[in-house]
Amino acid sequence: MTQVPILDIRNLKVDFATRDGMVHALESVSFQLVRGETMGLVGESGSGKSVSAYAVMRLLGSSAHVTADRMVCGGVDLRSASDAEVASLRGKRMTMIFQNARAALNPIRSIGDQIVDVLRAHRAMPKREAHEAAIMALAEVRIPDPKRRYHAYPFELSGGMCQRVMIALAFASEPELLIADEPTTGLDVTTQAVIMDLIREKSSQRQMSTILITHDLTLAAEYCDRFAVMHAGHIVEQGTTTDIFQRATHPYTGLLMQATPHGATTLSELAAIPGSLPDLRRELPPCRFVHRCPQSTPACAAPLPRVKLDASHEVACHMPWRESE
Amino acid sequence: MTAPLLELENVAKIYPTGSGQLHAVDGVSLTISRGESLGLVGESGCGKSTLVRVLSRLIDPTTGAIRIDGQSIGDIPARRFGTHAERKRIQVVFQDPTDSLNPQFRIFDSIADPLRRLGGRKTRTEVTEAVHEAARITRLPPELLSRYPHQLSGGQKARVGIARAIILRPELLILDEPTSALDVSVQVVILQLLGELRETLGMSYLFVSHDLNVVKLVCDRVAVMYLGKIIECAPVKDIFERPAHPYTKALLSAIPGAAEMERVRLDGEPRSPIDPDPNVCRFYGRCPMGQELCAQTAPPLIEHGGHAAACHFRLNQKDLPA
Ligand SMILES: Nc1ncnc2c1ncn2[C@@H]1O[C@H](COP(=O)(O)OP(=O)(O)OP(=O)(O)O)[C@@H](O)[C@H]1O
Ligand SMILES: Nc1ncnc2c1ncn2[C@@H]1O[C@H](COP(=O)(O)OP(=O)(O)OP(=O)(O)O)[C@@H](O)[C@H]1O
Ligand code: SF4
Ligand SMILES: [Mg+2]
Ligand SMILES: [Mg+2]
Repeated sequence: MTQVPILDIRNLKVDFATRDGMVHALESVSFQLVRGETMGLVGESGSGKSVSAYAVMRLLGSSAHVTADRMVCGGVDLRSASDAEVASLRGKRMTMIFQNARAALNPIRSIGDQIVDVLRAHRAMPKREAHEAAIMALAEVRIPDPKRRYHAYPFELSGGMCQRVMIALAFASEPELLIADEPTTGLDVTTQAVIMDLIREKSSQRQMSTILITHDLTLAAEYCDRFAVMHAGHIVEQGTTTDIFQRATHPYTGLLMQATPHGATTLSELAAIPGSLPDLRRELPPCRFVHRCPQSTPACAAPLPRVKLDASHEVACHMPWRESE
Repeated sequence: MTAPLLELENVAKIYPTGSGQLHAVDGVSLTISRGESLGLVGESGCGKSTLVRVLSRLIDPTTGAIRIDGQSIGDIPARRFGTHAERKRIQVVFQDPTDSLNPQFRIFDSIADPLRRLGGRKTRTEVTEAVHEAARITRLPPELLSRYPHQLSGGQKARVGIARAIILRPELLILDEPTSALDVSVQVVILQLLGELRETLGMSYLFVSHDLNVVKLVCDRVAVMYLGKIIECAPVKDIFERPAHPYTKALLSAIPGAAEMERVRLDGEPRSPIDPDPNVCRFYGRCPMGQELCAQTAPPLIEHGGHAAACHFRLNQKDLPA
């Protein structure tokens, strides 16, 4: 593929200053996204998925120290762009669906009016037409009785409804890049499928690129072209969906794939990934997985290589394994 | 017979809105026995969190009775219940951890809070030990205890919510989507922890989840909710093997990889929870089996041999008396 990527991130590093030390949240995070592509960003809780998203949206607070060799979205350099430039980029070209949807909505404006605001900011739309479009947008994300629900405030909605309103808002701005952070976690499988289909439809209609952050690997496999797997602030492996699901090469990816509760019939049959994420305030070894890794050897103490297995498949490991062979 | 640990009788929560009366919870009766784990499932917006808020006495029910050990708690005003003696017997893990954590509190203090407020006199060492223990068993790294909520990831906050709810070892633990923000690996740890607490302390659970695979693992009985009403309630095995309500069947058939069950697709729009017609089945219009009768009389919840369902045309019930 020789397309110019819509998003190009190279060696992103994020450290947070806290009262008891620097938290090294991200290191050497690199990925690209081309138009119309959907990338799954997966990994354990606390591995740095949301922080990566916030860094791209430039929404990290002042306690964050962000550096990168390259950080470009739609031709705009996110490192040097002014706050005003980023704000306009955020409103128009890149949008995020937040993990905590209720807190991200405006608490004192009705959900319908919030959608109207976005619609009118993007397209010169007469009020009445925007009103109709907002009702359609609510219906599209399966809010029952959208005409009457137009007037509801976020506090009057259920958790899953807030999530869906966020999604409707995100679509209303017709973004080129959508970052969806756990967009369907609170939804039943049926509604989940409706929402994911909608995201897929928008990506293909408008060549929208999507980063899907999720814990649900089964769901993600169905909708993503590509995956990046995170562990303790590193992208340990990236590749196409087939690369990741059938040719998992990093020991962590393998363990992550195996730890699904589905199919188990008793609690004792379930198996967690052994060990835990390292304390990110400490001096960290080059491979942050080394203390949990079933394959580690003394050679793993050397600087971490980025092994390119083929054009699309890359792994950061000294001892890559092949699960099935 | 001793009274069940928790008893709900005809509980309703109706919100007046600008466009009509919204029946969020409508005539729900349920019981949870000591040591029992009841699952509550149903699609987004059906009233699960509202029911949780009512029975943990965060909000007042519009009508109905709530009893713990036969003692009524439904009429204690919500604003007074926070410090009531019964409060420590029930703890809640809220759906949205951000809402329940005070942004000004360090994580340590958020977890210690119920213990300090309701746990009786405790030395500082006892509190510290209890907080570290709660963090350990919920797999919350100890270095996070000195941070504030905004410095944690989504799943880390969810674990704080669980740690603070179990620190008092309540008799009834209410969990509203406790695992949806967690990766599978941490999910496993939490589910096994729940199993353990139940075995060693006889804790009871109300487990709200949209993940039926998880419900199957941790619950003895399951209540299925649809637009504010319980439409089916039965032992977990019966729900999964012979669902009586067409909605339950549709839910089960939508589980990815559901075993050899034909997929039931639900067409049509769900009915509105605002001013619903009391004489029409709430599922009518989307129900693949709906008939004229369903639009004339709402089916009551009827129990046959421990299996309750609200449908005029129950499925899988051949062996039961007509
Ligand atoms: N403001 C902050 N100050 C200090 N540490 C932070 C801050 N924000 C995040 N972190 C830490 O950075 C790490 C990555 O957090 P992030 O929110 O990206 O995780 P995540 O992968 O999104 O996890 P989850 O699946 O639980 O949402 C975590 O260990 C978290 O505690
Ligand atoms: N304060 C309120 N005022 C008006 N309506 C409300 C209020 N709180 C909840 N509702 C409505 O009550 C219904 C049930 O909401 P609830 O939060 O209980 O759903 P839920 O089953 O928990 O859904 P989810 O799975 O999405 O969390 C919804 O239609 C919601 O909009
Ligand atoms: S009563 Fe009628 S409409 Fe309601 S669930 Fe049963 S068959 Fe369907
Ligand atoms: Mg996150
Ligand atoms: Mg809810």
